[in-house]
Formats: sequence, C-alpha cells, structure tokens
Amino acid sequence: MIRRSTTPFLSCLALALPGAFAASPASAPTAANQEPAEAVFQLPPLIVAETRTTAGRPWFYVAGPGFEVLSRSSEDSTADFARDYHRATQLLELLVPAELQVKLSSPSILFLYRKDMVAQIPAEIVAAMSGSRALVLPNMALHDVDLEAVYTLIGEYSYARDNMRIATEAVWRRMETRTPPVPAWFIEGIMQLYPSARFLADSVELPPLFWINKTETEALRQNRNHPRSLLALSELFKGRSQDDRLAPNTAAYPWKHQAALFIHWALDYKKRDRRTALYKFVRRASEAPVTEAMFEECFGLGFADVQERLSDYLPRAVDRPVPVWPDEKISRPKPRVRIASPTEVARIKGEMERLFANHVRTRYPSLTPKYQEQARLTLLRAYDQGDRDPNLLAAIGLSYCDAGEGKSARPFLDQAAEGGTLRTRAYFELAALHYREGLPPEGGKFTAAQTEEILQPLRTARNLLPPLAGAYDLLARTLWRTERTPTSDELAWLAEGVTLFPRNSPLIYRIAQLHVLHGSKSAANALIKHGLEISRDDAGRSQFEKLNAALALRPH
Amino acid sequence: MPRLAAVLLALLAVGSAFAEESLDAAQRAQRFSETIRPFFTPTATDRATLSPDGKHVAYTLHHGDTAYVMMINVDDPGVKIPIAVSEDREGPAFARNKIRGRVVFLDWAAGRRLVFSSDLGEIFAIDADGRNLKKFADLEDLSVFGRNRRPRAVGFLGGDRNQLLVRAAGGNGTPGMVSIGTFKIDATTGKRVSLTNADYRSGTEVLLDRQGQQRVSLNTFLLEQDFQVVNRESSWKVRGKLADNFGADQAAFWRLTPENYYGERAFPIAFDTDPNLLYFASNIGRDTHGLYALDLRTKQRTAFAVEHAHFDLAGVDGAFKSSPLVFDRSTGALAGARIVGVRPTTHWLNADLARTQSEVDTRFPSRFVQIVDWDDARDRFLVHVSSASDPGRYHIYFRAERKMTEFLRLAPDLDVGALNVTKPFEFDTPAGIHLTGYLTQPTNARINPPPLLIYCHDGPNGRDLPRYNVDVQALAAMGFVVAQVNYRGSDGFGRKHRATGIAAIERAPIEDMVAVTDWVVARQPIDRKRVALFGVGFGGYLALRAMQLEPERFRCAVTINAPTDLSSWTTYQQFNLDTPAVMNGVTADKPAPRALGPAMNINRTPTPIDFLAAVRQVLFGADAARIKELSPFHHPESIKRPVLLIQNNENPDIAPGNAVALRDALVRQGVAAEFLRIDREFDQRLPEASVLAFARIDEFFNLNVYDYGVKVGIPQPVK
Repeated sequence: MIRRSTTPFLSCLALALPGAFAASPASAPTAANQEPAEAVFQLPPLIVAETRTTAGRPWFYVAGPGFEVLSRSSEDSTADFARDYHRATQLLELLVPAELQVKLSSPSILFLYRKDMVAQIPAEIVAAMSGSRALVLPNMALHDVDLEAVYTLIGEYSYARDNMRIATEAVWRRMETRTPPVPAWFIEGIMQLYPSARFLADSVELPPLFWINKTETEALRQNRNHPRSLLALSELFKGRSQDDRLAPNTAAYPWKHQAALFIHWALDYKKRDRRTALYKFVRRASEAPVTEAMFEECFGLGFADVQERLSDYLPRAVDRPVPVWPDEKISRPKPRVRIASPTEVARIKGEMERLFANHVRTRYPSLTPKYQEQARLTLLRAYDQGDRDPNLLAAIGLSYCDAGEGKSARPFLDQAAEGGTLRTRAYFELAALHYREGLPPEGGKFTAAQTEEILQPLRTARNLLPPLAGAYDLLARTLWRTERTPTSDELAWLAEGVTLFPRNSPLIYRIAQLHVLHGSKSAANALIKHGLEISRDDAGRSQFEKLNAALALRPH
Repeated sequence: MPRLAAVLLALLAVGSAFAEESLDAAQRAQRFSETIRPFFTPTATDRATLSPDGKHVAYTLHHGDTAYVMMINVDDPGVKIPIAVSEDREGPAFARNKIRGRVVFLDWAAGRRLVFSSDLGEIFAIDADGRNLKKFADLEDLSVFGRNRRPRAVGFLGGDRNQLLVRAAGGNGTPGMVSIGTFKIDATTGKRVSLTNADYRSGTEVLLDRQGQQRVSLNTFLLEQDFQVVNRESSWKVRGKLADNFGADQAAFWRLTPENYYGERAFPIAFDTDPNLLYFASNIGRDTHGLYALDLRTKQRTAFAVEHAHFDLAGVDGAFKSSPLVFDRSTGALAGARIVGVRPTTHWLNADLARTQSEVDTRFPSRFVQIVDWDDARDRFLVHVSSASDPGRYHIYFRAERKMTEFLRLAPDLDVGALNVTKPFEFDTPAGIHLTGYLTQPTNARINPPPLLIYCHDGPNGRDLPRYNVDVQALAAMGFVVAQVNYRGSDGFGRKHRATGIAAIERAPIEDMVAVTDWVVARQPIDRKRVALFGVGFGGYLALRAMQLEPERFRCAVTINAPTDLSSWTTYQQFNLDTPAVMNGVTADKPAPRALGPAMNINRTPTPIDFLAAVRQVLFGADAARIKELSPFHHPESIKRPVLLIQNNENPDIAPGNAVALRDALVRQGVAAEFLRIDREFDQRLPEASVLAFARIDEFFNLNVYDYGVKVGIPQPVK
C-alpha cells in the first residue's frame, strides 16, 4: 500500500503538477522504487520573514467552490492555478463523485508561492541536520482532521496547466476519510487506475487495465480466451483488513486488480446507467454490508451475472483505454482574484505554518519548535493587531493544542466558538478541555452542569463537517461518567457515530459498554456482535467477548 | 400541367413513404435476425475433461468446418495442442446447413492418455504431449467390430482405466434382428479384445455392466416390456426376468406397460464396479423416483438410497438412458447422483466432494455449478458453471489455493450482455399446486410494461430443463417476459404432479398456465392485455386449448408441430402421407410429395408396436367422441384469437396437413390465422432455418401483440 508509505516525501503530495515538477518524485503516483538514494531531509519551507525579493509584493486571494487560495505568485498565475485546481477537482469527480469524498465545512487551503521567492533553508536548521542535505519540498499536502491544505511552489510560467491533477495521495485520503467510509475495494480499485489516468481538457481517460503482471496482461491481449482467475464478487466486496489491503497482488490474490476491473467495466459503457449504478452501489456499500440483493438493486444483475461480464470484459480492459466524460460540460468560471486582506494572509499563512510544524514534528522532532514559533508569530501578529476572525482564533487555539498547551488554547477556542468558527476540531478540543478540567476522581461522576458544558461544543461540532470519531468517543466517555441517565437523543447521537465509523473498534466498544451499563441489551448485543465481526485481532475480540459475558450476567 | 405535377408529386411521396416503410420493416427484420442468430449458433465446445493428474484439460472445439479436440496444459495454458477430428459434411439436398462434425466421446484413460471418438465412429488415443496418436477404429475397416456394426466408445472398464469399453451395434443380416457386441481396447497399445456378442430382436436395448458384459435387455417394441437378464452363454435364451430378483409383490412394477408408464414402477439404471450390484430407480410406494441398489447375489436391497422429496431422480423414460450416477474415476466407486430438479445439483456420497461442491457453489450464486471431473489427488476440479440463460463455462478449482480459474466458454461468441436473463421460480398456486419453471426477462423490452409469453414445453412426458433454451432467448429478444411452466403432467416432479395433470390433461395444464400468468403479473409490471402463448409439440396443443378455454386471457398463440387432432396423434402410425387430412368435411392441402428429398421421409416406417402411441391412447382414453371434443382441429370455431401454426409435415408425430386445414378453417371464420411450413433443420434448431422461422414469428407478434402493423415507428398501444 505504497500510498501510505512512511516515506514522508511520497506521502505528502497534494497536487501532481507536470512540467518542472512532474519529473520530481513528488508527482509519482506509485514510487516504491523511488526512495531517495542518499539521506536527504525534505522540509516544507520555513517562511521566516519577508526577504528582499518578496518584500512589497502583494498577496493575492481567490475563493473557489470548497477552496481558497492565498498566493504570492502573480495575479494571472493565481487565477490560472485556481481555475485549474477547480477543473482538476471536477475531473476527479468524474471518477470519484464528491459524495464519495470527505466533506469539510472549512474550505481547503491552497497556498501558492513562487519558487524563486522561497528562502533557503535557514542555516540553523541545516546545522541541526548534522551536515546532511536539506531540500525544500516543492509541493505538499498537509492536513488536520478537519482541514485540507496544500502548498505549492510554482514558477511564474512553468506549469502546464491542462495536466494539473489532484495527487494520488490526496485522492486516497479524500476517500479513506469520508464518513461513512467508502468501501476498501472501491478505494483500491480507483488507486489502481488513477495514477495512470490521463486528465484531458474535459474528460478523463482510464488507462488499459494492468492485470496481475505483465505476462498475464500480455497473454490476455494476445488471446481473449486466455484463462483468468477472478474472485467471486462476494469475496471482492468483503471488508478488508489492513493486512489484506497491504498484501501484494498475485495471480492467486487478484483483489485489487479485480476491484480496478470492476470500476473499469462500470465506467466503460456508453449508457450512463452503469456508472450511476456503480456510485449508487458504493454509497449503499458504505452504509451497510454488501448483499447480492443490494447489488442487484443497483445494477439489475446478480453477482454471477456481473462476474461473467467482468471475465468477458477483461481482454478488452487490458487492451484499450476508457474515456470517461462528464454529463455536462465542465464549467470554467473565471476566478476573481483580489488582494488578500491582512486577516486572510495571517490566517492562511499561519494555518499553513501550523501544519508545517505538525508535519515536521512527526518526522524531525528537533526542528519542531522553530516551525511552531514561526506559526505562532504569524497568527498572533494579526491577533495583536486586533483581528478577531473566528477561524483565526481557532487556528491560534489549535496551535496551542498541537503544542499540548491546553490552558493557553482555551480562551482562543472559547472566542472562536463564540464567533462561530467552522473548524470542527476547535469545538472538539474545547469539549475535550472541559472534560479534562472537570474530570472527577476515579469513581466519581460529572455533574449534569459539567456534562452540559462538555456536550455543548460537541453539539455544534455535530453540525459541522467532517464528523470526528474523537467527538463521538468523547461523547461516550462523558455519558459513561455522568451522574445523569443519557437521553434517547444522546443515544441516537451515539448510534450515528456507529453508522459513521463502523470500523472503529474502540468507539464501538465504548458505546457498547455504555449500553451494557444502562441495560439496553438489544443495542449492546448488536454492537458486540458487530464489534466481534470487525475486530482483527485476539485482543480486540477478547474485550468484546468479555463485554458479552458481562451482558449475559445482567438481569433481564 | 400543374395538376399532373401534383399527382406525380403525390405518387412520389406515396412511393417514398412506402419505400421508407418497407425499408424500415426490412431493417427491423434484419436487426432482429442479427440479434437472434448468435442464440442458434451451436456451442463451440460440447464437453471437457480433466486429466487424472490434473495437469491437462481436453475439450472439444468446433472451429470453421472442423471439430477439434484441444489439449491445454493447466499450468501453462499458453500451450495448446489441437487435433482435427471430424469435418462438417454436406447435408441432404437443399439443406441450408452442413452436418456438423462432432466429437462424441472424450475422456482420459489412465496416466496422461486421452481417448476420443468422432461422430462417424472413429476412435483415437493420444498422449497429453501430442505424441503417440493411435486410431482404434477406422472408418475404412469398422468390420473388425462386426459386420454392419458401428462402434461407440462408452467409457472405461470398472477398475481398469486403461481399457476402453466399446459397444458396437447394427443389423446382423436377418430382418428384424440386431447384433450387439462389446470390446475392450487397451488405450496404450490398441490391443482389442472382444468381450461379448449377442443378437436381439429389433428394438431391444441393452444395459452393460462396467466390465462390458451385456446384462439386462429390454425390447421396446413390445406393449408389455420386461427387463430380461441376458444369458451370457447364449443370447437366444434369457436367464429370466430381472423382476424375479425382487419379491413377487413387486414384479408387476418392473413390467413396463402403457398403463403404468407414468405410474408406479421401477427400472435398472447402471451396474456398480462390483458386477453383482445393480442400481435402479423406483417410485414404488413413494411419490418420486429414488435411486437404490440390489445385490444380485443375495437378491437383497443394500443400504444405498438417494431420494428427493420433490424431484424424480430418474425420468419416466429413464431405463438405459443417461445415468444420473457419478463414479469416481480413480477408485471406481460410486461418488454421487445428479439431481435435475429446478436447479441441477449433485448429491455427493463422498463428504470430501460434498465439501468441495459447497466451496464452489458459494462462488457462483444463482448459477448451476457442476463438478465434472477431479484429479486423483482431489486438488483440482473441473467445474461447469452455467445458467438457464447461458450454456456456461468451464473453470478449474484449485482447492489448496481456493482459486477458481475460468478456462473456456462453451459459446465464446455469445455476448452475455445480450442474453436475456433466466431465473428459476417456484410457488404454490391458490389451489395449492406447487409449480416450478423459469422466468426470462428481456434485455431490451420493446414496450413498458412488457408483454408476457407463456412457453408450453412438449409433452406430456416432457419438462422444462434448467439449461440454455434457444427458443426462449429468441422469444425474449422479441421483448417478451417469457415464463416456462412445468405444468401438471410434466415429468420429473413426482407421480402426484404427473398424475393430476394426466387425469385432466386437457384442462389442468391450462389452469397452471393461468396461475403462472397471475403470479408473474402480481410480481412485476406486465401488460395484462398482451399475454401470448408459445407451444412446442404437445405444448402447442395446450396453447391452442388455452386459446379455446381462456380467450380473454391470451391474446394470440404460436404453435410448433402441435398435434391439433388427438385422434391421429394417439394413433399416428395409421395415417398415410398420401392421404389428405379430412376435417369437418373439408379437404386440407395435399402434403408435399415424398420425392422432395430422401432425408424427409426417413423414420417413416412404423414400428410394429409404437409404445408411445399406446401410452397416448391410455392418456386420452378410448372414447372417440371425447378425443374429438378435445381436439382443436375439430373445433376451430372455439378459437377466436390469432394463431400462427408452424409445422414440419415430415414430423412423424403429427398428421401432415392438419395445421393447414386448421388455418384455413380459422381464416374462413375471420380469425387471423397463419401457417408456416418448416423442416427438420428447424426441428433441430439449426441456425439458418431457426432465424427464418423466428423472424416470421416476430412478424406475427408484431402484428398481433404489439400491433405494429405495417406502420413503423414507436409502438402504439392496442385499443
């Protein structure tokens, strides 16, 4: 599963830009063979201060559907970039409709910087690298649980606009973090096809399918009757453990290839019905376990019918690409670029730097303070100048949370909540602070007032996107320790958490535990059964079995 | 002048409109023909077999004008060895299709030796690597199997897989007599050894044991048929009746008569590797035919019994026909029994095979999955996966890896996306009758909701089988939802189902068709005003009866070779080709003269006793007035809706000319009745003849179901 490679260089891409950057490993979709040959530290830029080159140049701002751009590039480049990003998003939606991607209440941040304006990595950081080489990453996706951000260094005229695409890693993440989760087979199937897909002006061209290995692919090209091994569709659509998904593709284990074949087949059809059926099925499969009846309802065909069609389609799939056209012509709105306000500059740049710091912390912890300091400086400078934008306040609060300074975060988060920030995480962190502050000693209970204090921000978070598993976990913990009985609304709220995060075993366990405590036997039973099904290890199963035993001991 | 111009213009307009309509109609007909032609194209592959070591698959392949045997290496499927076996031959004069060359036997001997034979009687063996090809039976010298006797490979000797068992049969020079011999041939050396020779009266069928001995005979030209134990020393004498091995109270059930044909009786099926163990089918004291075994030494039944509560495990005409039993090639032991049912299954006696069946079944929900062969190690299994709307595919199941690999399609040129999906159904009617059948949904319905067509299979001793049906595919291509009904009286569902139909053969099946119509209509959108009938053989008779009894329900009917006059059908040897049919004093068209071609008059010689005709007479009784009453031929006035009567006048089962006479009578009374003459090529569903006939059927339905008339365009609702 190379998309989740631990190599930071490969896992952090957001936009695959051709031209100057296309040749860089950063844009490679699958690159297990592209490990750096020598120890090179690849860092996000540290934009310490305005340099002589950048001083006096304006920041541009443009807002698009679901994204906003802060740019230090030219006005034209900013507009082109915004338009091309929008187009790349629309083209992606031809393969992965928006409804199958994660939805965020906060717009994605695109931070555009001209590469000739980037300062060198500061000397003190280079020194901290023990003399190793440090490079500035040209293109990077960063994310928080409720925010997607991309920074890109571009040349003024050097990127071929028509070929801009959302990077593979970002596509994977958008599907993987969608709630309820998109089925694994769909994600893996798209991931097999997406990296080699061609993004044309108004359409996407899926590549000819690569089947198992070169020999098998070529044999099928030469002879359409060449034997082929396909999994039963029930097996294809079965939930997969992480191990399964990481397993290599072999002739005996063609799961990922068959997932790609299924998508290829569903999209390769003149009529729209099959594509519509595919997305309907993926949506349904993300909400409930797949059954043949569900499949038939979407495709009008049974598992075996489609398995035969896939088998017959395979020689065609390996032999030719498939164009995927939109229903309607892709719109090309003209972006309205303007000079960014100081608040926008502070918030977006500060947010970006906060995410740089988080990125650096997981990989080069010793460098973290420098990046954190820079982020804090950017954000607080605006605050000190009287800026009280709720999203800016949320960013400041979250930067303190990131550093583990909850008390410092609290006033900013309170103000952000009061101002109606769109950051889900801000409300969650606020609730978590209330929880920790009011946590009674072992055996003690939250009072009704304390409970309300925790639940209030969670209620707001519930109305924002994306839903956070942590918020539901916190809700369950709170209700577990509150002195009052959970209301039916609160139980329904928890049930919503199960629907949104059906594979989150700890969350399921905690909610099941709560139902056991309050004697909701049937709900507890259902959750325990579900928990046993999704547990992938003995420890996980064992805790559900223990809970089951405890439930059995409870009086009827 | 302007007036003339106007007239000319009007004429031109009419002419072009006519041309357009004609062109559209022609184009539509051509499109339809192109759509259905693939359905009638015979499958490229008939059979496949896995070598005992599991490393090779051999299969038949018809390509171009030749039937081949192909050998493929399972582990390196790129390596294929083709062997041309039989070429297509010219058919009779005016035949549209050649006679297709076929491979009629294909199986692996011991080791890696493959044995196969052609439809002409040649028998070959070859090694899996393509070497050491030997011909065991040569067309130039078949006399080695006995004068006038044609050899046929039937299997391998029980317990010795290297010895091929060959049966040779033919006239022995004496009128009314046949000679049957058995041989064993060493698959490696080709050494041939004669095992048995015996002469019988014509019409005698013989059951061999697995050592190649002729053990039980049955003279099918008698009205009362007894299974005789063949005397190995003298073919002229018999050892006695097989029934003598059972108690006196059961003897009557072992005699086959027209009276008990559909009733309670027993008959032999096959011998075990142990020549003293005889497997037989019986429904004595029960509703369905079960499978049992008798130890001929002790004359005691063994513990072996395979029964099914709802399905007969052997057909009523099952004696000496294809056996439902499956033997393990490597051990020779009985491994299981095939059950046709509504969905074909196998009752495995071996737990290991039962487990494997369950493993492969789960991979193909809603498909018919049959384990055909397995290697000696039971690691690799050749599996045939099919459905009622697809001839299917062969897969190899690698059990250790739990991997299923598709190796070949029987009909690779058939686009599965264009096939109309057929699914089995079963339900209880409001009257408590359990009905089964198959429902086919049109891939491209012409109108919404679509019309329904009730398909009536031939009978009375017939049924709809769980397999690809070309007629149904062609009918569904006309936009029909097609319901095949195993109406009461059909074979395979027990005595009660048969008997209740037979007791009221002229009414009960119609009630069942009505019940199925209601059932389908209650479950899916159907245009109730557009329900039609299609009947083959006796099913055609039922379709006409339904038109008489339920004229408001059924809009029109197409019949193929329907016996419209039951009196001639029950005594069909009595009619003469040169005698025109007479109906209500009206002389029908004179049938075609015999001189049209030699192939058209074969099989016309009446047998001394026609057992099936006698069965029909029992079925309908001896009351001539009643038979006449039940015959549509004699009551055309009760048919008010359009019918298309299709008939092969050379079909020995029906009086020639009846269909034309009925058509004429209907036309005279103002009913839109049509007649289409077909020939044997259509009866065999050969492509060209079938496409032509079904194009005509499509035309008939266009007029009478869709009401397209000659107007072309969007179908108009029927007023």
